[in-house]
Amino acid sequence: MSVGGRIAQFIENEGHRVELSVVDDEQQLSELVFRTRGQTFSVAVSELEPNRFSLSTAYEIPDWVRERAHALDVLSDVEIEYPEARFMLAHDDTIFVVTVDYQATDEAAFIEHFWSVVARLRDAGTAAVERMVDRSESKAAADKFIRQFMKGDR
Amino acid sequence: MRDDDHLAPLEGALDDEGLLFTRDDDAEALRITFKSEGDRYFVVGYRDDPNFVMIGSGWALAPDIDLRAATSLANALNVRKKFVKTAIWEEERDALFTVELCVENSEEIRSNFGRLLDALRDTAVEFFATIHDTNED
Repeated sequence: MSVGGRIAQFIENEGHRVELSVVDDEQQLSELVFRTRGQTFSVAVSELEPNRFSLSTAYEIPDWVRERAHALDVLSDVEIEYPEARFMLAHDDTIFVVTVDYQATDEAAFIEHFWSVVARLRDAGTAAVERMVDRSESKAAADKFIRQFMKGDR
Repeated sequence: MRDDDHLAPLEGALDDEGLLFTRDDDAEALRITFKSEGDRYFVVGYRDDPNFVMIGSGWALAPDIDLRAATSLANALNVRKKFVKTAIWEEERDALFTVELCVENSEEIRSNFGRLLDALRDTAVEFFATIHDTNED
């Protein structure tokens, strides 16, 4: 059985429906899609690099905070807190994708840590959404500007 | 779907969550068992009480866990937690986390099923994290 097939079997044994599809025949790259806690995740597996896995999930950016510069600022801030996660805006900046690349010593190690990697990915994504929605930091920046402005000489 | 299968809408809820499940009904009770992230859960209903639905998970308590501490912690969680009831079965040395609901139709639960699962999961995680901390002290 392929690595992708075995990972899919593991996820199914854990109780989750999995869709397995081949993304790139030449690279023997397949994608496994499953849902947990209301969120859809995908695992990219290449048979050519059987110990390397990419887990991704996407979050919709609330339309009232959909401002590219703000979103990019937030994502780069959250990347510092979650250095293993990569963030990327997609679909005309209406969503962001967060990805963790996992280099395992072997497949068993990946499986052992699978749900903690999923949890870490979820934490990173949730942190980014919360940060986007929370405008208190930009308010603090405005307050700082006002305070400095008020100190001007006449 | 049979007329007396009042848990059928919850199969839809499990589908919505992307979870696999099995049915294990008998003359008295309707049961759905499923796993999420490897942990086992169940849904139980009774044929003679179609308004009652219980969703839960059961865990064996390790031999080193003090039952009095476990019961005391269960009480503390029951005071504080919405939805979830924590019970300690002393003879079996099990901890049981359940949500018990009274509904006109279990379709009413469907849109909140994920939230109830999260509540069950979080309560179990908090229970075992606290009880293990207590044991280490």
